[in-house]
Amino acid sequence: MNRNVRIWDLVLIIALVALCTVPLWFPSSEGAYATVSVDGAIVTRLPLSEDTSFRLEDGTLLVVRDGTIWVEESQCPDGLCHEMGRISREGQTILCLPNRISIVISGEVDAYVG
Amino acid sequence: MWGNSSRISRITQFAPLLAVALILSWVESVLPFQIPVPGVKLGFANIVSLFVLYAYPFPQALGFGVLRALLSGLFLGRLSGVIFSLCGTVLSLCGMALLKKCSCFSSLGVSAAGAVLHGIGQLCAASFLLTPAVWSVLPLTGISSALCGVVVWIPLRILGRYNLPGIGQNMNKD
Amino acid sequence: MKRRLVLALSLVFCLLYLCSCATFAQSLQVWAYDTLCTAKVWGGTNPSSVFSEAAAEGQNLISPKGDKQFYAQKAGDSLPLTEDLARILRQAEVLCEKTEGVFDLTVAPLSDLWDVNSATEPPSSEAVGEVLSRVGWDKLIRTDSALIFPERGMGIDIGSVGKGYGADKTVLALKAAGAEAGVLSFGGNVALFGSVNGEPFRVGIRDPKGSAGETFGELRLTDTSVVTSGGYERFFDYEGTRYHHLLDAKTGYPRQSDLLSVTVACADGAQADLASTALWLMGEEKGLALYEALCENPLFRPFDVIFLCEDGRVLVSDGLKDAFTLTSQNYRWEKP
Repeated sequence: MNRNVRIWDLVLIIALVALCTVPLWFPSSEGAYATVSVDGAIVTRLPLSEDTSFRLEDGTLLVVRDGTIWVEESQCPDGLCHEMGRISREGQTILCLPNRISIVISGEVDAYVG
Repeated sequence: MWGNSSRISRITQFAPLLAVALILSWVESVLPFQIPVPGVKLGFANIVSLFVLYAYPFPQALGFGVLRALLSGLFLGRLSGVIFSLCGTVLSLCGMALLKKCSCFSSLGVSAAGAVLHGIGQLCAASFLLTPAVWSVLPLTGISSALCGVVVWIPLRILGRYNLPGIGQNMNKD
Repeated sequence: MKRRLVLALSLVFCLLYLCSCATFAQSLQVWAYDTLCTAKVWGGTNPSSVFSEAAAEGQNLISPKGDKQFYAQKAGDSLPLTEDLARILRQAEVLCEKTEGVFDLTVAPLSDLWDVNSATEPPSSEAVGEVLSRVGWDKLIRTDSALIFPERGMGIDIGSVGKGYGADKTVLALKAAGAEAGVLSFGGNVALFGSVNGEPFRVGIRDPKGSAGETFGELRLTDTSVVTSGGYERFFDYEGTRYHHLLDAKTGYPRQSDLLSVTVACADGAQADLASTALWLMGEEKGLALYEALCENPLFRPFDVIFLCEDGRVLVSDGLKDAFTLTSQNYRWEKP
């Protein structure tokens, strides 16, 4: 075993840690809102910053917690939307085709007018 | 003699090592403090994996790692997470074996890199099976894993000072 | 050999790391136009000082002292015209004609009389009538180099136009300083240029009926200015009636409009401001006709509009159809 700690060990560790910060290089695309639509019509827009739950008319239960949203309960036969898990980043989508529900994450806007 | 032993002697050597690794995993799981980062553990059991990597040829070390991941998942009731730790283990052992071949790095670098790769491997599996969103925890995982890798290296270094029968020369060879 | 390789690799890595850091945005802010002007700027040399210098420039549109109004101290006082000011006033003149005097920049003395920012009750009708006699673009005499006010106490207010104008100037200054992209917000007037990672910027349009930060739609745009006008922005309530800041220069009272807000996207920020106010004052039907007329007018640069109607309909002009997303369940996007 190489008993001497070498400068290269430090280089390696620093390089690896730096490599792990790659996601920080890009502007964070964490989502800010989840837009819930049924049949293409917007039903609600939930801010991901507030922990809440939302029940759709057909009984589907959505839960928002820790900046993520997921389908907790669903009436659909295949239950896929429940298995699509938690989404939190911009552009991610949960689709429930039997119930025609879509949940799309959108990011914070860059500016407001009005 | 350790590295090229017969089947029986291999079993007799691996069994206690595996047992030690599992006990360490268990000890870690009942510690009152846990690292609050998904997928990151202090990894006491990695001391044994690292030791095996240095003392045995790579295929055996890989087999040992996979077995350890499976068994600790089974014993500690985290079977659902086994696939993640398997991916982590395989990536980490492959990476460490490569780095070990490179004479630039000592066991410290290898240990830290192994820990980081373990985290990355887990995230790979999670991003496939769950959601690519898990990559957002990479900075946190990477930095805390690197720290854990350094911490875990300390007992290994102490272990290396003692001239364990048959182990020392083999470890020096690599 | 191996060492050199590792060294070279780590150098490349560090370099990449530093490069990526350089493209982070700088958040800048400065106080001008009696409001907070903020910006996010990507790249460029010393964007913060460029920004603070250029942002305030629009305040000097009518006088080097930074006044947002010009008042005639005596009959015959004149306002010297710069090229930019003359262009803006020509557009304002067109809008005044086409709105039959409802939109009028000489409304300044009326705005000061109403003073919706601090007033708690409306002025008396006598006072409104008296001040109204000093309002009217057609009373002014315009030469090539000056605007002559025939009566003492007449004036023009281009405070809000100045914001759009100043934002445009600031964008030019930042671009000249090498900035790649930026989002500027001058008290609700937004100017965008460039893009980050090839993505357009996202501008949220406030829901006039919602609470702060709530939007009815989003625009994905770049290299344009976006301005929204509506009676909901500044107002006071008195005995159950809401009095807002968008005055009808014909009657002297806040204009009733069946539009909640009008959003204009245009490469020219000053024009966006003028047009959004005039279109809002006109209401839906006349506003649409006015928009079509302005599209034909060579004095106006091409622009796009979003009308938010009182009954919840949203009308989006063709140029914004792909850029617009409805984000509220309280409104309907009417696609013809």
